[in-house]
Amino acid sequence: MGNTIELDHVSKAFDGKTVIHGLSAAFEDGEFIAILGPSGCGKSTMLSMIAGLERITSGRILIGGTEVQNKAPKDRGCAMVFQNYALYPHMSVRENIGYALKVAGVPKEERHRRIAEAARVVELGDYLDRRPSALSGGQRQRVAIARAIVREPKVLLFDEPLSNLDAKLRHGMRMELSQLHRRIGATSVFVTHDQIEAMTLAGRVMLLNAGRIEQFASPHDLYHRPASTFVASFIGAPPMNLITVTGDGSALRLPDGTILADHGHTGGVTLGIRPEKIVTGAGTLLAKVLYREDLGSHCSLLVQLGGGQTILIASPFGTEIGAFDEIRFHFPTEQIHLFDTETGLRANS
Amino acid sequence: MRQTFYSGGWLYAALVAPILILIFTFFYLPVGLAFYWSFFLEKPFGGGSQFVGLENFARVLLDAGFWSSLWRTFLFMMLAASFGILLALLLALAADRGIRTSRIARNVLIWPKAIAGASIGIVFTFIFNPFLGLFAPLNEVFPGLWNPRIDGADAFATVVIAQVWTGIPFNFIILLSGLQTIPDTLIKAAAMDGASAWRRVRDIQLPLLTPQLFLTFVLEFVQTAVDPFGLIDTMTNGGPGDSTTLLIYKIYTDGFHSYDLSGAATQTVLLMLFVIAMVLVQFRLEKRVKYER
Amino acid sequence: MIETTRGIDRTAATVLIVGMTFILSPLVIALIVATQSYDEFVAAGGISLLPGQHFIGNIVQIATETNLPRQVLNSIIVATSSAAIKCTFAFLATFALVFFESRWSKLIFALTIATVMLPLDLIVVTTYQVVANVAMPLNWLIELGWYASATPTAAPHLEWNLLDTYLGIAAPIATSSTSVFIYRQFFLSLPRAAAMDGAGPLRFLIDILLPLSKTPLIATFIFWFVGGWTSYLWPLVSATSSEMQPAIVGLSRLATSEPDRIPEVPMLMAGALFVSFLPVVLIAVMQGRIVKGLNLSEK
Repeated sequence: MGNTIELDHVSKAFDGKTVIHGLSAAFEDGEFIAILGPSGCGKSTMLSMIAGLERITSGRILIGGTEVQNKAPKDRGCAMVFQNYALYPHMSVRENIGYALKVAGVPKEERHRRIAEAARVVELGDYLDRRPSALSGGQRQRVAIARAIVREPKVLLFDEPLSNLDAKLRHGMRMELSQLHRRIGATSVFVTHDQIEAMTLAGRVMLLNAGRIEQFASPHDLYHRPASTFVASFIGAPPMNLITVTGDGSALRLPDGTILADHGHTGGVTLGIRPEKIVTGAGTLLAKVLYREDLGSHCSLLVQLGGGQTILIASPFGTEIGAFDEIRFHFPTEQIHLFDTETGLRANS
Repeated sequence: MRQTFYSGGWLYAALVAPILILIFTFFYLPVGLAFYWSFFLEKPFGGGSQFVGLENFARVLLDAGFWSSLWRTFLFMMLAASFGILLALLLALAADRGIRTSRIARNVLIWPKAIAGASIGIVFTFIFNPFLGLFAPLNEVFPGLWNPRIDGADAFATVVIAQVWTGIPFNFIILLSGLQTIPDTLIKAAAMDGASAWRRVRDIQLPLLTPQLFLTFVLEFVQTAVDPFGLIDTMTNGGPGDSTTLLIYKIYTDGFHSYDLSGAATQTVLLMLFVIAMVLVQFRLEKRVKYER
Repeated sequence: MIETTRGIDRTAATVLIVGMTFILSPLVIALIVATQSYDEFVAAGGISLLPGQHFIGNIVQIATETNLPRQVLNSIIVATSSAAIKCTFAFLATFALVFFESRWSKLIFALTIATVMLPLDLIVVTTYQVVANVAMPLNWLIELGWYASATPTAAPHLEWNLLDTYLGIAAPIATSSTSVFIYRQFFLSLPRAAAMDGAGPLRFLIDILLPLSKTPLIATFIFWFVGGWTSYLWPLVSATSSEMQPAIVGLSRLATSEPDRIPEVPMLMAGALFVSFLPVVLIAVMQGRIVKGLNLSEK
């Protein structure tokens, strides 16, 4: 039971070109899932396939345990919030919200009650008789959400719903969406290219790259235990430093022999370390600062290692360091991630 | 107009002069002359004209032939415009679905635009010929069932069909481009809201297509007032009897065969007023259903 | 599009195929009959969908025994010149209307757009009078002057008859000024920056506006070319000699020449195809560019 979503070896090809490669995953009942990835990774296609707006080439999609891949959108129990809101311009806000109920043949009285209720949830009360063209971006967004929740759907799908709002509004809507999800409890799938949206809203994040799952885990794991160099460099701003090193069983060395960190690994490997985990002010490493950005709370330093590779260091003490100064720092062993240089996959546990 | 940034003067005058001279000479002058001749009569033995007040109008308006051809023109406009737009709408809705057939259909369906009414009239005359054409076998079984040469209703129908044929391309282009400006996500949203394809057409696509539908109706009404001339001239010559004599054809025969300049001019004035009235009525209607995107 | 609706796609395909059949069947029938000889046609006693071998023969007959080749040339000249006049005049005027500050612009725009409401064919009777003597308005002025100055002699009378000339046939066709509307929409959609680097008006017109307007210019030119080609009533009355008549008029004269015997249907069908070939090919090849250039979606 429950409104689970199961993707079972789902593939999609457009004109013979595969964009989703046999993808499998399961979403729990009531979970808030974010599908994250760079543009063109197939995340919107994924959402359309769950919604039924796009046919799948092979595989199965199950909602609440029932196969739906051959069902029409209306028979899947999903509602969707679109990127450009997709409000019907010739209908009032009330008609927009109530259209699904009207199509479903819900009696007028009940329709009005439910429209009012949905409008109350998104705080839209005063605008019910206006046309969408008379609303601001944030208000349109609320109408779009009200339209989605008015049917009490099993599954709520969001297609980059916040990308058309300005930064301030986006932050507010993020909090509201999070509260809304807690209140309604529908299984929600949220597509975005913005990692902050994904990390703050979702219980679990599915990171897609070129039609494949790179990692499907909690935001915490995504950040602290990236499964591949792709995840490591996609999540976090600034992204994780990735340095090609060689391990001799006791230390990881740069090609010129400089010891970066103590570690038991043997052989060539990609070392990853987040800029903010590098400890400055003490240590064995000494390098020149090429460029410095003061961000108030901390400083971002571009530093050149021996052998020419550059790394970023985020340091809370940055203000004391000028450009072209030499700074001392070290990589704490417990903060080091290792990735297979060939496959990019995580190598340490 | 928001882009103005040059000031008027000689250059401005020189730029607008050609088109003004052209339309004054070959449009406004003829229109004015039509009004002039509707109040004047040509003197019988050469040269000059004589003011006759409303006599010309009285003569035309008392002529039963005028009223019947005006009525036929109205009927023809209604039938040809309605069928032409309805068929084009169906085809545009189908072509908008982006299936494989629609690419070729988009091309083929506008070919009639390139074929003159008079040329296709000749082809249709043959196709509808009671003895040689498509329905000839039918006539052998039921003699006299179909004969546009004798039966006025048959003849009228052939001209309507031919006019619909020639009118489809333009309506189709306008309606299809109108459909394509409707954002895809609106259709998807309606699908998510549970609307079936037919319901989406009715509730979303048609309402959003009203500007284009009005445009096609306005243009069809203007065109169907004059376009059928080429068809009538090659298919029926206004007959049998007067059954396909639309006003445009009557004006031509009165003016160029009976040399009744004043009569033809008066009828031209009345037809102009009729067309303008039809167009204005449509603009009034359109104002009522406007919405903002 | 929503893909889970195969049945509807099938219905749509059926609608399109029926529509194309309706459009194409007269043309196909004309083409098949045009391949038959007169004897074959009479023997079949009506429409026979069996193609014959005489297509080339019929076309050769059209080309050698009728005036149609010459008349096709007339059509090319009339259609090209009316389309060229339409596009050039409208382009210059719209440039002035959109980019110049003038209190006349509104009026001029209204005057040009009003021509769309009343097609040429509606006013052929008096247009004929005007073209028979284009100097008519000048004569009025002269007479007025003569009358005012009380000169006893008769006023001079100017005559400039354009009937049966290419100019006389093409110019009235060129009056309909829909292009002004299309160009205006296009100009207004251009980014302002395109015109802001301080170039003089003519420089701007030639160096910036003209190259930018290629798409709508080509589209409208072809559209008006085809329009000029297919016009019938006006050329019918204004071209009085067979040498000056455009092809469509020539074809219809062929059709009405022999009323009593079974008409030369195969020849007529060949003729109908002969006079329609060029514009149909033009429309078929340029379809995409025309639709894009006319920008009909934005009313």
